[in-house]
Amino acid sequence: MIGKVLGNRYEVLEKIGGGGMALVYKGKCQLLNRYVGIKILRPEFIEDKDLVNKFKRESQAAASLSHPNIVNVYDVGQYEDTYYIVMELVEGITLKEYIQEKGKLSEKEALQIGKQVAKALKHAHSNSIIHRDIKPHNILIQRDEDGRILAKVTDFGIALATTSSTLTNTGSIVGSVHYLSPEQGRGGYVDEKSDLYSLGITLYEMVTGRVPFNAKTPIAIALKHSQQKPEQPSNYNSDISPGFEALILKLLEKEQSMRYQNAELVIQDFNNLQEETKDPKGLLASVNAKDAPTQILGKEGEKSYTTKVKRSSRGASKAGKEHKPNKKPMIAIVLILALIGILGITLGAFYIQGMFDGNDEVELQELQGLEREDAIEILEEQNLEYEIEERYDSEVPENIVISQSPSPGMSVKVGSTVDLRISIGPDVAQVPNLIHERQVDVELILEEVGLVTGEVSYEESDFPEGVIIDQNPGFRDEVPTGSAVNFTVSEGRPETMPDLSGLTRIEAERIIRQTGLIPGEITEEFSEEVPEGRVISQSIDSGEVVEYDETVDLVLSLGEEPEEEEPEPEPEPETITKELEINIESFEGFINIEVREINEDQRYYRANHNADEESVVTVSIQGEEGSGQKVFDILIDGGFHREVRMEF
Amino acid sequence: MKATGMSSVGKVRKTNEDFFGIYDQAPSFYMVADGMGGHKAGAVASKEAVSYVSEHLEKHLEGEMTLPEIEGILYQSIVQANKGVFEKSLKEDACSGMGTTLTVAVPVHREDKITIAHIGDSRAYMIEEDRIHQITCDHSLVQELVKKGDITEEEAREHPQRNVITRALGTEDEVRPDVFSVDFTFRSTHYLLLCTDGLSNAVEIEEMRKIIQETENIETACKELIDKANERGGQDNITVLILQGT
Repeated sequence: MIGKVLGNRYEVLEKIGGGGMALVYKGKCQLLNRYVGIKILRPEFIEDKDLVNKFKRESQAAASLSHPNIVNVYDVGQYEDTYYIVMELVEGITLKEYIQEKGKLSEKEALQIGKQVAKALKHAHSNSIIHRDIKPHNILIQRDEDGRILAKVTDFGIALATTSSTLTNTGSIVGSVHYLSPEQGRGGYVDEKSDLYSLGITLYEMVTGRVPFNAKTPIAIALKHSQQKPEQPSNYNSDISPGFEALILKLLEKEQSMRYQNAELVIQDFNNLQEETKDPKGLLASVNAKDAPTQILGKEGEKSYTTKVKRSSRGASKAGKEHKPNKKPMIAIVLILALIGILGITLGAFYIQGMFDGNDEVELQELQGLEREDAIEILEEQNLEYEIEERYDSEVPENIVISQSPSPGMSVKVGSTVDLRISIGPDVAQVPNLIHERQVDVELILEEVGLVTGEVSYEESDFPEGVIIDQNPGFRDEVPTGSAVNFTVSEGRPETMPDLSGLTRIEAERIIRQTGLIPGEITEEFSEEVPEGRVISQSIDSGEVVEYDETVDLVLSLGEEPEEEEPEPEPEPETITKELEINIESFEGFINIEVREINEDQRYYRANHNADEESVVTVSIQGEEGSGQKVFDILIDGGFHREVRMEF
Repeated sequence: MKATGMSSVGKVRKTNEDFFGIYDQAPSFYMVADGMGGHKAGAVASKEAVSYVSEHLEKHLEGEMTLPEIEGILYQSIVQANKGVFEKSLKEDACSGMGTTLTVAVPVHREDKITIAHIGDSRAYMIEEDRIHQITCDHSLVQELVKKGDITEEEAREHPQRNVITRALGTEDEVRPDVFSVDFTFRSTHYLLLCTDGLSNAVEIEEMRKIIQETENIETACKELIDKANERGGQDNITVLILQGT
């Protein structure tokens, strides 16, 4: 490709990168005498007409964008079988690399970059283009002459073509699933707010150095996007202001309707944050979209309103942290607490008043260990209010008070509220299947449902070493959370080293791999007995017990050492002919038969036959006597029919 | 068991990256593979995987084995094949990122069972009398979403990411195949169908059953199934392997 001139205009200079779908070159536009980036669709995608059409359509749309925070597309074209995109050449690193370099970015830097990405998105969205694959790998970072950071978003539109294609390069899927919005994971309706979600994940990664949702498989990650609450970024970076945190979490709402409604609103909040107020109160992020019927609120109304909501949602997330976030009953409790929070403010106001009016105080009794009904009865007798939080507890039996607040012995005003925490018994977990899983994965599998590793025993079996072959308790049994699961791990079967002497290098290495070993070094020696190219000896003797992944070195023969005297003419090896019969009874009409030798990749025979007239085709195969086994593929009409082995 | 297989490049693609193997000398076994990856590397992956697995099985499978023994050997064969394909993909630039699906069937007459090893989104279906059902579970994004109840079967069929697979052979240094045995009564009205997604994405499950049961022999049935998929656009490579009980 290098040296070619595309579209009579763009000279390809050097390769500067490559992703799963395209290769990137530095090039020069001969017309405008400037350097450009040239992205070339990998040749294997050309066969997929659907994909190519989408690629063309989308990249042409992207070419209509022009913005300082977008890697601008100058031209889209086709050269012979190659599709290419000509774009602005950005000399910089990706945001991914930048984060990896720095570990975490400061809030100030993250804010600068985030705002520029939001501006890029605003421009694209107003042109009806959704990026669909916003992630740090697609954001390029440069510094201008004054040292200011400049962020540029690249790969607009290409994402659509990738995700809907038949591409099954798992590597690239794993790469972006971390940034995929819940609706994209579900295959649901994707809109501009999907890009905002991905921006949220990107911001999260900038300030914490990690993505909020991670798991072993892409599926588990996708599920976390749609089910699990992200941990507060401030848990990983205590320097983050509450305002910035609120902004990130607002972008990460599961429901599209709960996020910022467009990129402009995100930019507004970035501006609010940059001005001075690091207080979440002044931010649009604090307005809960479901509760807020309109986007625009009067300044005053907005403030008093958001204060309340914020307090309640804080309470909610705190309570949420104490529980397993993916349990449905817990979510309900969190919601109840959120409501209580709102009420609490109103009630609190009443009690402050009350404090000045009456002086009746009561001393709180010990309620811990009592049944729910008894505790309530006592509180009612003392004219106290109560709020109940139910939670799983493996030690305190169901319906018994775990704890109370304020503590027993405290004096409180009549009518004030006592918080009770009441057990709903131990949480149960369903034992997952471990059989056929690998031992290294077990801890994660158990952890996901709240169980732990128990006793591990080992047993010889035909399964590979490290694979689980038995477990107790069994799959789908119900046990209390935190229980241990015992299992048995296969030790594999001891293999013995096969005899390789006299084999060719290819044959010997294949057998080494089949035995689970690794072919090692090759040395060559002269030999009078062993013919040239064949194995004289092996570093592990045949019959020895071997472990997987041991290395086997081979010594190959160079043939007889040449002597000074006239060499005796070598006896010609006897050539013998064998017949290979191919049964074609099951076929109809004219078929094409092909016979190939696998090791030599050589075609022996190719001819058309009429299957209606013949039932057996005979092919003569010649070989040197004593040369060993030959393996042939029989292909019919170009498709693999069967494999045949012959001894010579 | 009587077995026949056929593969077609389809109507859209230029290369056939599917591969299948029929090894009918006892102990017999059968498999289909759907390769993927850059420029023809998919074809390398599927062929290599079939060849590694077959060599391992030919060496280790014996007539009088118990089901756990057979299952263990099958699992091991897939681990070996994974190692071979993955190493090749690291070593050779042209093979970088390649991988393959693989579905293997081993009939165990003595026990009236068929043992299956499976990874990816190729499929095995069992047809007994007039019932057909899928016995493998796709390792695909949509299948996992269906399992979790996030989307329905109907939504899965139209899902934009329906071709995304979550496990493959040769794409990582470790592999986790499904290995299991199912009941199968060996008689001529019972069949096992192995196929790649070129067939299952184009032909409805009931149509498959009808064609296999109502066609006079399995060779013709193979051909009809492939023709049907090609009539409907032949978007992908199509491979069909039918086993008939005897």
